[in-house]
This record gives sequence, structure tokens and C-alpha cells, in this order.
Amino acid sequence: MLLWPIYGLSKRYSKRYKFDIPSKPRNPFRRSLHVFVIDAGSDVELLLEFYSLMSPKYNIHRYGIFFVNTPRHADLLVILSKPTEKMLPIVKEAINHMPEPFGVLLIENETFENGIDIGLPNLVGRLKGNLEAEEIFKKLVEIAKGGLIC
Amino acid sequence: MKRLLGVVNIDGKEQLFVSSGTFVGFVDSSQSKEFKAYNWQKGLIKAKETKDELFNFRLGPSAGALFESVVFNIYTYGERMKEVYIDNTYKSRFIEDKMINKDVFEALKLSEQICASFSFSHSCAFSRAVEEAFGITPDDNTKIMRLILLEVERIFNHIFVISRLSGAAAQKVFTNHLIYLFDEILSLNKTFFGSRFLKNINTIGTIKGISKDKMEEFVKKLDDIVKEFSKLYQFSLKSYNYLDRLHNTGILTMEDFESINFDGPALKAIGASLDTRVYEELLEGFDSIVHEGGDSLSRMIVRAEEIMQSMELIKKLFQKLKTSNNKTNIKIEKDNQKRTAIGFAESPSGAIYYYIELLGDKIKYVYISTPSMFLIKAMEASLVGQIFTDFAFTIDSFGAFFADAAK
Repeated sequence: MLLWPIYGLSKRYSKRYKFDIPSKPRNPFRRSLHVFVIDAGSDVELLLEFYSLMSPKYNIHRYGIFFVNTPRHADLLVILSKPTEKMLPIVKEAINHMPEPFGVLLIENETFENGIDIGLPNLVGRLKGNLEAEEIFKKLVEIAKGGLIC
Repeated sequence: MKRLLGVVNIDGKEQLFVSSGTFVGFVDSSQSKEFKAYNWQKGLIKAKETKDELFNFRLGPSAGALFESVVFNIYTYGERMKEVYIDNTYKSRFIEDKMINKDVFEALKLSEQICASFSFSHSCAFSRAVEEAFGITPDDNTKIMRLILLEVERIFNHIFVISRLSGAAAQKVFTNHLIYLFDEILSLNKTFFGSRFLKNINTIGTIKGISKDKMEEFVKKLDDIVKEFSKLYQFSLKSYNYLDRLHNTGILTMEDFESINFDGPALKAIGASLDTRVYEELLEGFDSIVHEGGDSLSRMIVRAEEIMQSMELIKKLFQKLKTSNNKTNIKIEKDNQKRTAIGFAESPSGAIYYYIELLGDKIKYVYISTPSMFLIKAMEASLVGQIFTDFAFTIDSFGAFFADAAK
């Protein structure tokens, strides 16, 4: 019997791997996307749209989308509107608390310029306009299915 | 019953913006002693010195328990809340300042941005102020449609508030039903009026109308939703577990009203009403719904019964709609004449008042009195003495939006 290291090395270089290493990175959030929503100073329209996403009509849990109460449990940080001056450090702190890998989605409804542009890391999407619950839902499902690649 | 709506600086002189019955206007600040609410409106009330055993449990601005970004400074020894101070400046967008030097149509768009759930009420109050300033009289159909849409806004707002309350009380099936109905009404608004929150419908002197046939279809579908709500509501009243959680929680008294001057369902739950719909000619025979108790349960009952009342009002107003539309002659003078006016509308959580000063068609000064400004103070008063478990029931029962208060 050959020495174990030589035996192992011979097996490693002589046999093919049973499983191929995937060439494309896998989406770590498939069927399990935890979302933390932060109101950065919006009028409550987007907050109410997110609230109506909890309607049984959308059934977001079926897609593995869950809303969490802390950024430490979240995969996706949704920022509603450009942050006001006072909310800017709060948003940055929330981003700091996000565990890797994470993504950020900025949603702004049709409104006057009231916020400050900050360089958001890991930005997976930027939605603007009079958004409704259905459009936000489609975006979240797209991210949950594979749009968020880290 | 009189209310202090705000302390305003006009031409360098401090004046009190008050409402009392049919009177809405300004009085000299020498009468400030008649209004206990003057102290907090001027910012004269400072945080009390806290005792050694109390610590500040600072909740917010971005905490999972809260709907909006706001800070609750709760002074407690661990179980009961001894003092509460709410800081809603994180949502300040300075909309009153942004309105200055804008023309009335741009300012109308800004008024709708204050709080989406009250956007039609804000738009209505502002446009009424401008119409009074320029002597514009909208046609009957415009007045009727405005009243109808104010009631529609009231219905979906109250359903939202009750769903938040029931969610806090762990009535998950009831909550999910209500969220479904809330979303259905928003979808109806989008289908018939082009906006889920009734934005961009109202304008100065007129309103984007729809045909009477379509309006009939809308009223019928809304009626089906309200009937569904009524069944669910009656069923929820059989759950003593749910009622017990709301009973005797967040109690307010008439003394609180005298020192804070809130209105809306929070005042109606104490047995009094300052509903401005009583003065609407088109709503003849209108009677406010009041309830004794002053607690979260009373506020919930008032809102639920107002939903049914609003549906009846919509049906009555729909009968008065005319098929032909007399277009109003809208003239906005672009001269250099100074004009001032006050406009108001009854939003779901209380009356909204706009005081505007115009130079030609540009806004020179605007003061907005929103119901949430007062409800936040009412929240602070009602939380004192409560345990932390009752925090959510108390906060959600008021139906206040911090975006509305922070403007």
C-alpha cells in the first residue's frame, strides 16, 4: 500500500471530479430574501405601498421574501426616497450593519428634490416615478429569483 | 370649543391662528392665556428634570417597531413609561419654505407631497384657500366630487389604521383581510381616477372628473368593499381578546384636549367633535360619530363607524352629481396685488388648515396646520403611565403620520 499522501495525490490527479464547479456564481438569496425597509424622509406613499405588499394577493412569502426589523438580519436594504440631511447618518449606519453579502435598492417616488446624493454601495436597483405595490413586488421577485448577484 | 391652530408671525407681529365654531382666523397674541396649547406651540415646554432611577430609552429613528422614521425619547425605570418626547424632525422636508415664490399650481403639487395618505385633503384645503383669495367659485360638480373623494380618502385611511391596530393586537387573520381591502381600494382609485392616493386629481377651481356611469360603477365597487369590512368588523367585536387589548389603553380626557387642542377621531372618542363637515351645505343633516371612553378602543370604534357613515355620504352625494358640467372660469391674476386667505378640509385624522399670503399668483407666505401636529402631543400624553406592551396599540390608534406633522 502506498503512503496515504501519495495515494491521495494519485487519486486527485487521476480521477475526474464527479461534480463540475459552476462557472456562474449562484444567487445566495434564491427563495430567501430578507428585506429591511428604511424610510429616509419620504411622504408615506412608498411606505403604504410596501405595507400593501403584505396583502394575501401578493403572497410574498411564497417567493421567499420576508420583511425584517433590523438591518443585521437583512439581505436587501430598501431606502425610500433620497435621505434628508438628518437621516443621512442613519442610512449610513444601517448600511454598516448589513452583513455581507448584501444589496441596496433605492426607491424614489415622483417628488421634488429633497435629498442628498450619497454613494450607495452594492446598489442593485434605483427605481423612480409613481411606483405602485405591483411594480415594487415585481422588482423584489426579480431580485429574489436571481437579480442580486454578489 | 376653541382650538389654537398655530402661532404665526404676520408682518413682524405675533398672532394666534384659532378656530372656534364657524370662526377661523387670527387673534392678537395678548389672548394667549386663554389657550393652554400656546406653551407647547411656542416651544416653551421643556423636558422635565428626570429622576435618578429613570433612563432615556431612545427608540428610533429607524427601528423595526416603527412605521416611519421618528425618535421616541421614553423616560422609564424599565416597565412603565413615565415621560415621552417625540422628535419627528427626521422627516422634515421644509415644504412650507419650498412653496414660497412658487406659483399656486406648483404649490398645489407640493401640498400633495406632505403626506400621501392625506394628499387629497391637503390639496383640497390649499385649493379652497386659493379660490377664496381670487374669488373663484367652483361649480357644484367640483364641490360634490371633492366631498366624495374626501370620504373615499377617509375610508381607506381608517381601514389602514384599524389594520395597524389589529396587527399590533396579533389578530393576524383580521389584519390580512384589512390589508387586502386597503389594497383593493387603492387599486380602485388607480383604475377610476388614475392615482392610488388621489394625487393630481384636484386643481384650482376644478377637478378631474369622470362620467356619471363610471362614477356609479366606482360607488358600487366601493360599497362592496365597505360591506365586506362591515362583516369583518362585526366579527372582530366578538373577539374579547382583541377588545381587551385596546380597552383602557392610551386614555385621553377633555383636560388633555384643552392643553393640546387635537381633533378628529381622537377628540370624537372623548365624546366631543369639531368636525368641519357640519358646516358643509351639501352634507345637510350631517352628525358626527362620537364615543365615550377616550381609549384606543373608542378611537377604533369611531373610525369603523365613520367608514360606514362615509359610504352613506358618498351614495347621497352621488345622487346630486349632474351629468352636464358647468366649467368654472378660472382666473389667476398675475398682478402685484397682495391677497390672503384661509382654506380647510376635514382629513381622516382631523381638520387641515392653510393660511396663505399671495403676491399676484406667487406664494409669499404659507402656514399649514395639520392634525398630526396635535396628535403627536396627544400620543405623548397618552403614553404616560402605560407599559411597553401597550406602546403599539396606543401609537397606532391615533392614525397620525409623522410626515404630516413634520411637513
